[in-house]
Amino acid sequence: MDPFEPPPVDDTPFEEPGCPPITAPPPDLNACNPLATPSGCAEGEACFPFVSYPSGPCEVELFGSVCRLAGSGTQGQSCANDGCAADHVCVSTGRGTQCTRLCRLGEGTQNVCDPGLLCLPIDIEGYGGCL
Amino acid sequence: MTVPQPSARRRVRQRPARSRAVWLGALAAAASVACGSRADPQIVRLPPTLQVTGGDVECLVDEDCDTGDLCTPRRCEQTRCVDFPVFCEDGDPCTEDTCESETGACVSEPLTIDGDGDGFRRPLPGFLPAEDGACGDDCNDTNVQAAPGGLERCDGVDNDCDGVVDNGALFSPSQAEPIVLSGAADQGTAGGLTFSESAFTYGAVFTQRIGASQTTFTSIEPPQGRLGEAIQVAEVNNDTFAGPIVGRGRVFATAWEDRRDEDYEIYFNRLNTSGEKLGPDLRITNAEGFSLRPTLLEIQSGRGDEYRLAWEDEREGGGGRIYGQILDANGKAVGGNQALTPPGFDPSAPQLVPGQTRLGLLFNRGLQSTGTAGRGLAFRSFDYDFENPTDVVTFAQRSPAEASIVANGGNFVLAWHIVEDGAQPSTQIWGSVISETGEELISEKPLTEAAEFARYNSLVPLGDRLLLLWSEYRDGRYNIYTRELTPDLEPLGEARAVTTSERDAYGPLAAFGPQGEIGVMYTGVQPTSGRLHVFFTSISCQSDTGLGRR
Repeated sequence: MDPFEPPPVDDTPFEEPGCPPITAPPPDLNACNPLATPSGCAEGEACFPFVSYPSGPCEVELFGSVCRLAGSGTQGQSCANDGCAADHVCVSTGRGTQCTRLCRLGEGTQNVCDPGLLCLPIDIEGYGGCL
Repeated sequence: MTVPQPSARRRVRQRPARSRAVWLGALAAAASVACGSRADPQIVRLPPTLQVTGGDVECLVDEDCDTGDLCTPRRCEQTRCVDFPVFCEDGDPCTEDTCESETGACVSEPLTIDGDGDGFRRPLPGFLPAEDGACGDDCNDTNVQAAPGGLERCDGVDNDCDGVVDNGALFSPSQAEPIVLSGAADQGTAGGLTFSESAFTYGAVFTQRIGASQTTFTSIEPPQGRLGEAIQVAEVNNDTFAGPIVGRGRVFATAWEDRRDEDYEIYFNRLNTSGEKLGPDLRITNAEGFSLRPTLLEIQSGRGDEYRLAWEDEREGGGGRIYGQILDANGKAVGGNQALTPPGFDPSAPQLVPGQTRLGLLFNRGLQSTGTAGRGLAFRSFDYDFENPTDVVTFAQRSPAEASIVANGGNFVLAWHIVEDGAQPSTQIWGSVISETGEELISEKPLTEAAEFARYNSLVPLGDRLLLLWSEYRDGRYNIYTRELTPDLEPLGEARAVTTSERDAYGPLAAFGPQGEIGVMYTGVQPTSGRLHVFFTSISCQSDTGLGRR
């Protein structure tokens, strides 16, 4: 190579094996419904969505909901105390982990977020957080 | 400053003396010729025999010392082999001088390259163009249109290397209908945007949901905005979330959050300008806890373009730290992950920025360790290899969010919005100016007039000005606005609407395109479907104010 020339750029594409397509099962909401009233949980408990992470590149996340004791954290408060209140979920926001009000994304949904906040996707399918 | 000229291959300054064996060989050859001829025989006088007195003899002739390496020739001196190494030094501090062992020749290679072929070399990392010791004076070695003495034009480039982009130009939002990038998906959110000057297309990455959340690439051809194929970057079935994209030549690079490993990890890959990957996905992190929010830079090293990556990382608990990774021009990791912040800062949302001599790192931090509730902005800078960090400097302690940082005119400019109690954004975008080592030069001040709410910003540095884009809430919806600012953050003119959406449009990401155009990617609600999608529009550069040679 001529030492006075820049190194050559190799932009040859790489073929990755990829994964066979898998249709993820719908979220398991048998236990409760986080955005319904009543949610289906016992008194003192609240319904929270969850995600179960895959263990390999060709697997998919599993989404569902679970009843557990409600915390006291509301919009913008830290998750670190006793967790988040009903209708809220703990989210990494770019300003630490905070309780964020749950909202529903998609067509025909009402914006339940306080003025100035947006219902933005979180990493749980079908749900958004007021951010 | 003199740009170093290519140095020719030179001979060694010191050569080994002709050895006795060569001399004898020459005599033998002469004798052979004599024997094969019909000439009379000649008497050849041989040299006297070496007198050897001791038993500890290393050599008798130079050949006994031969290592085959002509850069470290050895002679036989008094029965001992003595090194006579070749010393290569051409006196030019901008060359690397080495000796070729096969030939013993000195070779000088420039420390910096002329990457764009415009006849001007790039400076060494950490040096200003044309600075003493920089070994180059090209202020932009990826663009043939930028070089000392160039003609300034409306193209988003500092053509004449005076530190100012598009001197005196006016920027006006396009009136064209925005393009939807994620139209084939249920939902999309913006990731990153850049522009390839060699392919003449924008490269955009975003997250779109088709069964799973997928980091997706598409190219956007200006000015009509024809879209290339939407390509899934990480060919996995799990969720991946798009991060930044960098590169303005034949190769793009991107980093993203990936859940394939039972956790959020940071992955990296390089793409050609069509979005095809140039290698397997590179897993950057492999540690406990989430690794999130990658920030990526392409920087010019002396002989190529390298990458610097940083992200927030929970591996050590306790609020986590910002970690970083150096990657070479081929996208290979150099060394391991490096902690870029000390423990105890609860850092989040890092933003890396290349300054003239140092890398800046801005992040959002918790203030618990200072005995104060809430959060602030913090900064430290490094040299280009993440070495020699400054102390961490904290400022803007009024609950800042979604901060950005750019290098402008030798300083760093920061912008953010303030979060009120209840997590609602406040009414203005704020900004400040700091030096490359973190001294506050311009204290925090509002950059926009008060609105109902203001959030999300993007800064475009022009050298003598800045272009600010942000989202402002008016009439029940967010739209994106722009205005110019002086380097001291004083407004230049009124705010102008970049989008006029009937629903929300927010989160602008800006990148210089062709002819001074500034591409703007954002997330918004599609009025017809009510769904979140990714859009693209542009701001055009008007040069009729007269740009000229400086």
